[in-house]
Amino acid sequence: MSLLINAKPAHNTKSRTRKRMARQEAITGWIFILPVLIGFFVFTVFSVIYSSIISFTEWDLLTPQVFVGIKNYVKIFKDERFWQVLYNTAYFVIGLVPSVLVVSMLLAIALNGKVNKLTNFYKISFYMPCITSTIAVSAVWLWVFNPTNGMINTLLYAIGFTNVPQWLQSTTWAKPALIIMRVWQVCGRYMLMFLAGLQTIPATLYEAAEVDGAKAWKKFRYITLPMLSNTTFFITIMLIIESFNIFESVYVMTEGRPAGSTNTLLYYIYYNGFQAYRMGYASALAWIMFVMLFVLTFIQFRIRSKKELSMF
Amino acid sequence: MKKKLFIKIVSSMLVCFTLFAFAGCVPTYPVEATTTPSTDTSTPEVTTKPDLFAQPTKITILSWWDATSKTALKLFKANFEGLHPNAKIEYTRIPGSMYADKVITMVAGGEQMPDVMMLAMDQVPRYALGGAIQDLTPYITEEYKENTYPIAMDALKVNNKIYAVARDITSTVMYCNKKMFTDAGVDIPKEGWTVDDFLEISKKLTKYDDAGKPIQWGYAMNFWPDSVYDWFLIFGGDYISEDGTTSTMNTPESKAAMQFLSDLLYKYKVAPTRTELEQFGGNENAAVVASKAAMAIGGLLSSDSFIKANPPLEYEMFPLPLSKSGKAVSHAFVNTWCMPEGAKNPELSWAVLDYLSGKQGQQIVLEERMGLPANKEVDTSALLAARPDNKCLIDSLTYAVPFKTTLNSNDYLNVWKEEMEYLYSNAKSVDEIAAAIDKRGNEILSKK
Amino acid sequence: MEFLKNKVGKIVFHATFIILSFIMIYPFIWAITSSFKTTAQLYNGNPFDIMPNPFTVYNYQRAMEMLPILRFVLNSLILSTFVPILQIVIASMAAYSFARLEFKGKNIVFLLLLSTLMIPGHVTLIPNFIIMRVLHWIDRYVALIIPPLVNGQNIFNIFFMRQYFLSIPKDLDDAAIIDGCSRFKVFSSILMPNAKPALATIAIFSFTSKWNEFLWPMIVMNSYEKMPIQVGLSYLKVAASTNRGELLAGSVIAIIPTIIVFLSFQKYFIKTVVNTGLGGQ
Repeated sequence: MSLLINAKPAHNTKSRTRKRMARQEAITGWIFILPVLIGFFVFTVFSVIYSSIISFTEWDLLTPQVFVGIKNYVKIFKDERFWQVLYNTAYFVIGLVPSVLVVSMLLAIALNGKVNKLTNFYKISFYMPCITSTIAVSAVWLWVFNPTNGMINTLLYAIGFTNVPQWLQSTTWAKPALIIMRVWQVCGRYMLMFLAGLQTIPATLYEAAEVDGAKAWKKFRYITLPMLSNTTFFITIMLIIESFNIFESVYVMTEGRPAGSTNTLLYYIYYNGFQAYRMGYASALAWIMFVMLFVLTFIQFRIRSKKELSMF
Repeated sequence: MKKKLFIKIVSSMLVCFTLFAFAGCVPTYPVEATTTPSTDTSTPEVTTKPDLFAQPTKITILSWWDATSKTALKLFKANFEGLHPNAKIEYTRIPGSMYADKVITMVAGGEQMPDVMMLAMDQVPRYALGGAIQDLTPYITEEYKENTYPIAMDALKVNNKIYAVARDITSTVMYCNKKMFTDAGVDIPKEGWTVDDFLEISKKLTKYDDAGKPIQWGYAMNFWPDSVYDWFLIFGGDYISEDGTTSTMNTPESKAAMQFLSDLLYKYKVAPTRTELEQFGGNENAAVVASKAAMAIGGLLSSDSFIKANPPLEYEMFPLPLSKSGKAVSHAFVNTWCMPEGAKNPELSWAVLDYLSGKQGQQIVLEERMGLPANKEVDTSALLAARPDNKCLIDSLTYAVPFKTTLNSNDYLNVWKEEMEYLYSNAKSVDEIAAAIDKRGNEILSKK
Repeated sequence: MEFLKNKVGKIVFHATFIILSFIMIYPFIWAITSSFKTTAQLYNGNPFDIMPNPFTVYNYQRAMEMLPILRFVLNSLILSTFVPILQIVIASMAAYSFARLEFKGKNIVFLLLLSTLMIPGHVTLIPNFIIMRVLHWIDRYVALIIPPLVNGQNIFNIFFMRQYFLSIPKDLDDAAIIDGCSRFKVFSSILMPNAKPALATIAIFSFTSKWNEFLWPMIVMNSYEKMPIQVGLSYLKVAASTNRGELLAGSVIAIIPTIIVFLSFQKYFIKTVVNTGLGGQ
């Protein structure tokens, strides 16, 4: 627009030109986002609305839909498998989030600041599981957790344990097994994110603390942790969402067994939708899950902003 | 920089692809399958039987069998193509446990369906009512009905219309790994043995080492509804009542059977649990072949895995233990072939179905040990001559009870599977599970 | 870390990390070597017995006989390269629009699109599947190409590219406009070439993400000729029910390409994750 400052024409022509250019720009703007916008309306907006419609019906794909009102939602609350799934999800959140946070943070702190061939090798080794597919990795980890010939139990037997955990077969150990595998798979990615966060902490802070005689623990507690709080918050949200999304490992390794102890929300939705063909019920489940996640995230943001406010 | 990156990407892709191309032989699996439309073969309506094979015709058959290893499929193809030189059969496969669910998606997707597909008898009502398979009643002749065993005919009917033809009949007997018996010094059971005998023998053939690791089990079971059905029959129970309107799991007899199954897994530990069976791919016959389990229930098809094992397994067959009331027990499961809705040419599909369920097709079924023929005209003498114990298979057909299916079987069995899971993992008591199955099951069975 | 200043500390540190790194990659080493073992060695062997004895490619041969594994790999290769390209083009165009162009309601639309990120995939899973069915896109490549253009990941790409475009000085734009370039030309000749680092970042992660995708292809693709590798692998798990070695072979095939890509571009991967917080998968 500044290009037109030196143009001589009268006031009217200037604003007409400006208007024309503005309109052209707007049209271009809309055209450029049109594909995304159309897709958004069809596959997101329409889908979400359609999903809620389906959740008020009973439908098995072959026979016509039957409108049943809120029957599906009522059934969900009476469904003991649903409550078990909720329990499992809570278990996964409590098990997964702190473990990954602690492991990744420790790794990041240990590797912080050093850049040489060896530490690069470590970073690469830790990151490698992140880019591999959960499906393939789960098939391999079936062998890690094999109660008789698997890697973990062979080690345990060798050390002298006789009552080894039966892992994917036992209702107590199946979830921890999945958590262990998940930690293995994702700690590298979050380690790198913590590394990025650590790099933003000025070294001068640490130097000043040293001058004041602070030891390692104090430095960690009063410098590192607070400076990482943004990263930690962000990672926590991602981990919670991940805990709700555990699906592929369950699909390959346990299919929800034993006794539904590894049944997750997404797997239960998939099972109801694409194996038992209870489309309405599955959609209702998806909605409940949506609401739960939304509320959780909302609460987290509120806590965060309250905390930030309290810092003043 | 852009070029270098691009080259790097393309070369990585090429490296991957060539690595795999060298690691294995060129796949023999047919890559072009269902999507090309066939040339129109039927002459304009009116007149007599149109010559379906006047021009080259492609036929697609969908099943859960592996066409690369199941000789029966190869023989069907060779035989049929011999009879109709212009026909070309191609097989597609969806592996077993995913089959019923995936096919619904295909039907629901309105895609080009195969000409013929395999279907288990408990799925036939659901598919028929949902309009996923076509009514075959117009094609079935009186002669056909007379030539088929009644037990098979019943499995094909829904609401008095015929929706499928029989692929074969599976009736169950007990198989054993001969060597494991001889090694342990245990006699091979004979007709007339009881459940108590079974338990004793299983215990004798189960071994654990000092650390508690299992070395071998006496019996390997699979966990599907039709795999454990015989035990329910032996104890005098059933899943559903005769008229198909009530669930009968919460009866003393059925519960006794459930307790027995639970004990096999957790009290006596003579059978591998589901996770333990996983190492054999969840296949009880694989456990027997690996000499990790001594006995397993099966139909004629099981013998195929034993014969084709490497090295072939020495096995023996005998009838199942007598029921608690002293009667011989077996159940018959009928697998079918049917015509999907959306098949391109019903006449063509029927020609194939007729062949598969007719004398020639059924003869191949018998010879390749896929199952017992549903067609009475098939000569079973060769089977009897091959091994003496094949007799118990043929005999079992006479006293076998059909696997009960109703219009809502699929939904009922989903509930059954969900609840029985607690039994298989020892998480709830038999009473709780039985009550839950009946409660939810009756809701389903009372519909329509 | 002070204790590291001395030699012993250093040795302990490196020893620990070497062991940890080895534990991290051991499952891959095991999977690759064990896929060449015979069934007997697999079932009765020691999981720490790395050398296949005898060495055999039987598992790979059988896996490829049972299912068209190479075809799956080809499908995945094609999908993982072309779909991300499409995604990036569409995302960049939208990002350009948000970053540089003014139009009424721009901010509202942007926030709306961002809200997609808040919606978990499960809610749209079934309705999108039904939409595919209605459009007769089931079992056609279209179903794997169009929906990903507007899913959460691509919205994130838009957001990411927008940030990057905002950081490119506007003078370049203006100079081009004075010279008579159309908006589109500014986009294609000025902004995109200058955004190479961001584009490369998204490209690599989109490739990995697409290669590893499972649930959506699983429910929309039915025929073997069109299936990507992860779905094919799940079929292999059911089909290879008697020989677990075949499943291992399939898993190795499913993992190797991402590992190769990762190792070739590792410096890039690490750098970009550290700098941008993107995670892949």
